[in-house]
Amino acid sequence: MSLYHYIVPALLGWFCLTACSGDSGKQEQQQGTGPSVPAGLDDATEMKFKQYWTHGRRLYKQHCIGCHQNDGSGLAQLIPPLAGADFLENRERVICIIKHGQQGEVVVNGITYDGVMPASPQLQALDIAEIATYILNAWGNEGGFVSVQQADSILNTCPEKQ
Amino acid sequence: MNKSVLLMLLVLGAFACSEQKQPKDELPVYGETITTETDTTYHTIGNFAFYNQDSVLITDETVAGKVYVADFIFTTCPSICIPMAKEMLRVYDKYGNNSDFMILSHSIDPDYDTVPVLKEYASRLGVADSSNWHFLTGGETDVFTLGEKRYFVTAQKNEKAPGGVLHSGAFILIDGRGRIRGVYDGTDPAEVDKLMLDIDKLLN
Ligand code: HEC
Repeated sequence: MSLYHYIVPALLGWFCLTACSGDSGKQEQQQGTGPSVPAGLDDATEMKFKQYWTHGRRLYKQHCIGCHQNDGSGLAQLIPPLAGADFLENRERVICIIKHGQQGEVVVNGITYDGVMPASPQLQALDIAEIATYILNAWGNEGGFVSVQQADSILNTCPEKQ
Repeated sequence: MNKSVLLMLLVLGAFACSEQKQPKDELPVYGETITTETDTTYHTIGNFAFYNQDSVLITDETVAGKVYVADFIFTTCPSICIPMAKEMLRVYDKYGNNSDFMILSHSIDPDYDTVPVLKEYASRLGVADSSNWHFLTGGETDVFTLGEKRYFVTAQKNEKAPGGVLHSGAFILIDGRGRIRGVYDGTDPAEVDKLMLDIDKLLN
């Protein structure tokens, strides 16, 4: 029996696998560039920042990603972006929105949105501090660290509370 | 000897792969197919009539002879509609100018999603005026029956589901004779890539 009896089918199998695999083996891209660590944090705070950011990313995937998208880009003029959004400079409002939702017009980077973002009453101050730390420092944003104490005191001042 | 083996490999390899690249009709036809000695009848979507975002009546006659993709949405949807819209926008970007192609997005909240609400939604999505993407509401057809009995997807009002509506994220591909030729998860970019390959097959 010739060696070819074995080699040919083996090669043939290999050939087909490689020839046909085409686009099916597309790698899922790892999204995001990691945190932009704020300058001037002491070691302990920097550790905390990284923890918040990582937890915040997980919470973002649970609560926000369906609308604001993995890359924070939002969608057309229906959902405002978080990546590169000038709105995030208003940290107090951002924190209140995460808890209480938002409707009516908002202007983000010069575009007026008029949608409805649902409230997330189940989120606690720590969750909100983590989500805020994540969105303020993901996708190239550099918005600084939000501690649970800050989130807690801001949440007490939200107009929705009154 | 070596050369001939290589040649055989190439020929066989190409042959093995060609199975995937046949022209149109290798797509399945969904639903009950009745074959008699003389004839084969397929499940088709059948009659319907809705208004689009410009108050134009859209019926089965509008889509006759066209390949179209159907989905079921509502504008206040808190969950999967945004990823669906994002994916459908990719389909629209690719086929939006093709007069043999259409997209029908059926509102399953027709009480809230009136013509002006859908108009606003479409324009915020960036869908051009009088394009081939129609957002459907009203009309004579019950959208829930249409969804379940003819497109085979879940589209139900349900007070307990988020947003009050039980809702499938499917994109359904229909050929020019009203037959279902594919069902895809409209929230999954890989599935929507597949949909676009299948649209090409039906259009060619
Ligand atoms: C159901 C879709 C939806 C979900 C889920 C959602 N948002 Fe929003 N978000 C919106 C919409 C729509 C607006 C604009 C609201 C308006 O027009 O008043 C908005 C606005 C915002 C804004 C202010 C505008 C901007 O883009 O900077 C922030 C910040 C924000 N969302 C963060 C979040 C975070 C964080 C989460 C997760 C906890 C989240 N959103 C979940 C839809 C959503």
